Amino acid sequence: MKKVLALVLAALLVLTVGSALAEAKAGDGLYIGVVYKQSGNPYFQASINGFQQAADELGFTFDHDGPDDGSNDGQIRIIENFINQGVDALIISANDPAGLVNVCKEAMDQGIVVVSYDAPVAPEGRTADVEPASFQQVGDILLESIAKSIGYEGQIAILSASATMGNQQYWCAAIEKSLQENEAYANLEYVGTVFGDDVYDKSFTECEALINQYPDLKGIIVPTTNGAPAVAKCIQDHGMSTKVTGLTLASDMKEYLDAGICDETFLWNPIDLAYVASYAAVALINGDITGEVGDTFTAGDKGEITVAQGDDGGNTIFLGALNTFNTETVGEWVDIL
Amino acid sequence: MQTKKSSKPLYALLIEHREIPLLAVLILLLVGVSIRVPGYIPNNYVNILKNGSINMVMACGMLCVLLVGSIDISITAVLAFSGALIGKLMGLGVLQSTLLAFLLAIVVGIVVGLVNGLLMSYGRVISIIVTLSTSYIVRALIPMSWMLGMNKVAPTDLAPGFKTVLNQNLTLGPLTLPYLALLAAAVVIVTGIFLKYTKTGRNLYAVGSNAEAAQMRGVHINRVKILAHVICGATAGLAGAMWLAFYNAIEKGSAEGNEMFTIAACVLGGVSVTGGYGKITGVVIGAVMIAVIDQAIPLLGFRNKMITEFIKGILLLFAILLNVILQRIADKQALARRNI
Repeated sequence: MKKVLALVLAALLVLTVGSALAEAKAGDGLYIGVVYKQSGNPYFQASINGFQQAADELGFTFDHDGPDDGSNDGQIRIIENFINQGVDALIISANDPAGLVNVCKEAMDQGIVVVSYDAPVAPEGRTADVEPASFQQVGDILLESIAKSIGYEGQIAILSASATMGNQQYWCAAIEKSLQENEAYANLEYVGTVFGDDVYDKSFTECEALINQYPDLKGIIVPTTNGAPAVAKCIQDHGMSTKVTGLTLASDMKEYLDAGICDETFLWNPIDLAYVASYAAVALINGDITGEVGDTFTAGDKGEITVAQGDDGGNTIFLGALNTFNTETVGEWVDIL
Repeated sequence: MQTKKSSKPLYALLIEHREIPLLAVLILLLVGVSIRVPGYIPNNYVNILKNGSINMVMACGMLCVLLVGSIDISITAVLAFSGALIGKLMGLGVLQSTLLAFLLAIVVGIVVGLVNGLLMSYGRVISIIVTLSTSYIVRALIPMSWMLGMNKVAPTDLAPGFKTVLNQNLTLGPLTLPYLALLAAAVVIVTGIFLKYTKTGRNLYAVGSNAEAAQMRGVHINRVKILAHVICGATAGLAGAMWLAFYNAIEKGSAEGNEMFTIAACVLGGVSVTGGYGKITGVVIGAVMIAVIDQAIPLLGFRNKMITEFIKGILLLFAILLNVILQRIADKQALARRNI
């Protein structure tokens, strides 16, 4: 039976490969506009590879842009430009979940599919959302990591990007929730969250203020790729034993992982995230799925994915777990992230 | 003519040394912050010195261009470019010497400054437009994606010697002086001597206060203006190397917008934006003040970005208004004296 199945599969494979040359791809002729939070952010730079890979497989074309200043109004201008250019879908990482709703509704009224990825647009302004892991899951992973590093005891703080950035807000809320509810963290004292605006020197100064105010600070969670290296460098410069964890790029943190300032840091794979978002967008444009909770689609080599109920009450496509960087694994990722 | 010397009244002293009231404002600020945040100065002076150093170095160059009645807003683009260039070259293993890295960064700045100067003097384009354009161009050319694929310089790219060169402190008894601040102090001293004791330096003032008169005296106005831009570019290039040595990381958007703090440091320090007037001592106080405000705001406990920016704006406005008022008094007194 297995042999027969294998033969059938092999035959199918030959057929599909053979016919792929002649047959149109699912995304042929489609044009997608990608809008990320901020131009120049290496995280989003990396995600372009995922869009490119999906574009090669599905046959669509895409352009990408993000505001220099990471602002909401900058994103609105870019989205309006894309609408005028007649895109079939927008794939957006939102600086402010509520801020983009109007312009995204405008796009949806014109029949454009709106998929948010990495940082969601509020449910009423999107067709679907693609996320690496639920906010609670990310928050729990970060909190558990820092707690483990400092032996489940002592003061901890969060250095976030900005108070209005969607995902930052939710991760911090998730961390705060677990701190209150989980008995394992009873001996952790949470001193608060500060904001570094996702700017290196600002994050550095904010970190200096933190360790100044709390000289016994044991751990800092930095759920932002631009802030984490600044915080780690600040801790290193001041010769503190404070531990740092967060969502970071591998290349930024290798130095500090090797120096022992971080035991481990995390990130998802922005390439995979972009890849799945592209497949979701094409499936939505073609009407294969509507984006309702429970819909299932095939995301290329990532296999079948089911649309789930998201953290914000809307429909969300979750990718799975986080990528862990430690002294052993970070080397594999430095050239990618 | 009455040439008899009389002891100067207080207001005249204040007018001649506009940095004195500024110093008073700075002390007030420090006292105010120290009341809210006990131990602010002893705990923070090293951080203030460090974080203010880069701005201080750029402010020295900015002083020179402001003196000739020009302005340069491309400095932070130059900072990011020169820092990224030497960082990438180190990452590729081409460049290992710390000294060469610093020199290369300065050369990059000089080249951009020269272009700025040529365009604004011989090209007769106003400097704010020239440097706005070069700022965009230079930032766009930052050697990131087209050189190594990665979009920022990470600590692992840097040569070990470069990473530690400025992150050390000189201990003088109870005082800790970061190398970064000592380097900035050296730049300040050189600029101060240049402006006060060399003929070329004094020509900057001459061109800025009365270009025609300077020309009559045989000063090459364009050359002086170009020189001012070259100096400014050089300090910006040096600032790029300092940034990289201090933070060990640089990216395309690094220091974007910070040029306004450099200009603010100069204006706070009593430098005239129309040229001809400005002292290095004032600029030093201005730069320290900006650093103090930056370092104090997070400690004051305001976590809201709007509030911190509001406070920053108010403090800047307060200091600048004080300057304007003093200038008015000075003008009035000058007129009054002529009438007598």
